Amino acid sequence: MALVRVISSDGAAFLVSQRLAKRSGKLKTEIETFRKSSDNSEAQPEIRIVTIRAEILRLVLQWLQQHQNDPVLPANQNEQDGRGDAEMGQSQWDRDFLAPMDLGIVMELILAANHLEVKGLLDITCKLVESKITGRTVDEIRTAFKLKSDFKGNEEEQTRLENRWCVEN
Amino acid sequence: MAQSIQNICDLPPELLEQIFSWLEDVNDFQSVINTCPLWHDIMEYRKAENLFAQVLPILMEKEIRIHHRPYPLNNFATFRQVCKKWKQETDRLLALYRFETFDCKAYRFYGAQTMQRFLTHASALPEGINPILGNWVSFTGVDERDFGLCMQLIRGYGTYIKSIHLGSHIHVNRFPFHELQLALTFLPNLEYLYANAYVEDWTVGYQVLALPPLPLLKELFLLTEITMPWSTPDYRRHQQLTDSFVTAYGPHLEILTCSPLLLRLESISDRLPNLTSLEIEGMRGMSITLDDIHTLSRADWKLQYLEIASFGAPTIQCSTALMEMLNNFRATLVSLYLSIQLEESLEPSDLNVFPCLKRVSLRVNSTFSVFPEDLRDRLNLFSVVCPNLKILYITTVGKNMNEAVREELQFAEMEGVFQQLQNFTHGRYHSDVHRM
Repeated sequence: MALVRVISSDGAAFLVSQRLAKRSGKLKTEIETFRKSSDNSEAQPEIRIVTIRAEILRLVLQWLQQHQNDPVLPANQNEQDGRGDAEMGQSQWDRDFLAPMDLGIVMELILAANHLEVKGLLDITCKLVESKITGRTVDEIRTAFKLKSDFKGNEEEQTRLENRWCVEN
Repeated sequence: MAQSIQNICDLPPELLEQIFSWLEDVNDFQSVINTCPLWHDIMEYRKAENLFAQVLPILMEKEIRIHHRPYPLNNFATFRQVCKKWKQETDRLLALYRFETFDCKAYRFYGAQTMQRFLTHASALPEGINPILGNWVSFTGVDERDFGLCMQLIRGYGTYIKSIHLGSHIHVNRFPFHELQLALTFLPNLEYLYANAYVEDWTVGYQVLALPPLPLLKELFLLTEITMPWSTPDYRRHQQLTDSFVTAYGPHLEILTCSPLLLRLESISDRLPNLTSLEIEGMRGMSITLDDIHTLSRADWKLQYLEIASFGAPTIQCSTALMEMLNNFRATLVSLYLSIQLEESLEPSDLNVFPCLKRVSLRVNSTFSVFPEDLRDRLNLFSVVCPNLKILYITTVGKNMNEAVREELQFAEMEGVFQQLQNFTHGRYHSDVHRM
C-alpha cells in the first residue's frame, strides 16, 4: 500500500495511505506534484502542513478514514441538487464526532477542511457554526463562544444604534 | 542571580500571553497557536474571538457561491455587537462585499413611506451615529413625487454612503439628470454608482454635461435602457450621458458597465486609463458592431474581466476580429463572459495563450443542423490556450437550435473537452461569480 507522511505545523508525523490522503484535494495535488518532481517512483511523499496543528490534523484524518468510501464531490458542488448536502450527508457518526468539541476546535476544523479541500467535513463544521450564529442574540453567541464584551464606554450602545434600522426593518 | 533567558520559550507563560496579545493580525494568531502545544494552550481562550475573522468569509462564500443565497445582513448587525474583534472583521467585510451579497431590504428604498420612516429614525439618533450599516443604499422605486424625500436623505446622510443605486431597469425609474447631478454633490465618498438617468430638458444641447467631482469613484454602472419601451431610444442623448460620465470620472474608474456607445467615443482608451473590468451591455435596437470589436482590439487596457452582450442582446460572430480582440487582453484576462454565435469558422488556434484566465461563461447559439465533426477537436484547443481555466459555464440559447447540436455541446463540456476543469455547470448563469 502506497503511503504518505503528513506532518503537522507542530511537527507530528502521520503515516496514511495515499488513497485516503487523496480524498483531500490539497493533499492529492501535493502527492501528484511530488510524483512529478521525484525520480524515484517508489519514494514516499512527505507533506508538511504549516497551518494545521497535530490535534486538528488527527481529527481531519479520522473524519477522512470514516468517510473513505463516500463519493468525492467537487469543492463547489451545488447543494441544491441534494448531492453533498450537509443536512442529508450528516450521519450519526458525524454528530457524535462533533458533539464533544468546543467551538474553537470546530473553527480550527473549518479552516483545516477549507485548506485541505475536504468538502464533506467543511459542510458539517460550517453548518454547526452557522447554527450557533444565525438568528441568535448577542448574548447567546457570547455564551456559545465563551466570549465577553470588551467594548468600552458607550461603544456598545453606539453600535446598537448603528444597527437599529437594519435590525428593525 | 537570575537565570538568563536564552530562548523565547524560557519566558513565563503570562509574559508570552502578553506578547501574543499584542499581535493584531489574525494570521499571526493562527501561527502562534499552531507553533507548539504550549503556545496553543496559552492562547486557547482567545481562539473563538480571533479565528472568527478567518471563518466568517468561508461561511459567506458557502452561502453566496455554493447555495447562491445572499448572506443575511441581520447576522452582521449581531456580530458587530459581540466583541471588538468581531466588529472589526464584520465591518471589514461589509466594506469589501457588494450590495447584492447581502439579504437586506432595510436600505432599498422603494417609496415615500420607508424614506419618511428612515428620516424620522435617523434624525432621532445622537450626533455622529452612522444610520446606514454597510454604507450602501438603493433608490429603485422612487418616482418624481418622492425626489424631495430622496434628496433630503442623501443631503443628510450622503457622506456615509459609499455605494448607491439611483434608478433601476424598470423603465419609469429614471432620475432626471439635474436631480442626479445635485444628488452626487452630497455623495463625496462614493465608490460605486449605479445610475439610470435621462436628460429631461430637451432644449439642452448635446455638449458634455458637468458632473461634481467624486475622487473615490471606482465603479460605474450606467444603465443602457433609457427610454420607454414604446418610444425610439435616443442614442445621441445616451452617448452624451456616457461621454459626460467618462469625462468626469474616467481617470479613476476601474470597473465600468455601459452600452456599446462607449466604444464610439473619441480616444476612449486614453480616457479610462485604469480600467480593469468592462461589461458591454447590449441596448434595445443596438448591438456591438465589428467597428466596436476593432476599437476593443486597439484599446490599451489591462482588463481582468470582460463581458460582452447580456440576455436579449444579439450574439457575436466568432470572427477573426473577435479572436484578435480577445488576444489584446490575453496577458491579464481572468474572467470572460461572451455571447457568441458558434460557427464552423471557429478557429481557437487564432488565440494566443491566456495564462491568467480562470473562468469562462459562454452563451452559445448556433444554426448548425448537424454538429461539425472536426469542431469538437478544435474546441479541445481551448484547454491548451487556457491552461489555468477552472470554471466553464456553457449556456445554449436559441429556440431553433438543433437538439442534437445542443446535446453535442453539453457532451463537449462534460466528457472532458476541458479535462482540467475542476468544476463546471451546464446551462446556468451565475451573475455572482463574474467578478473575481
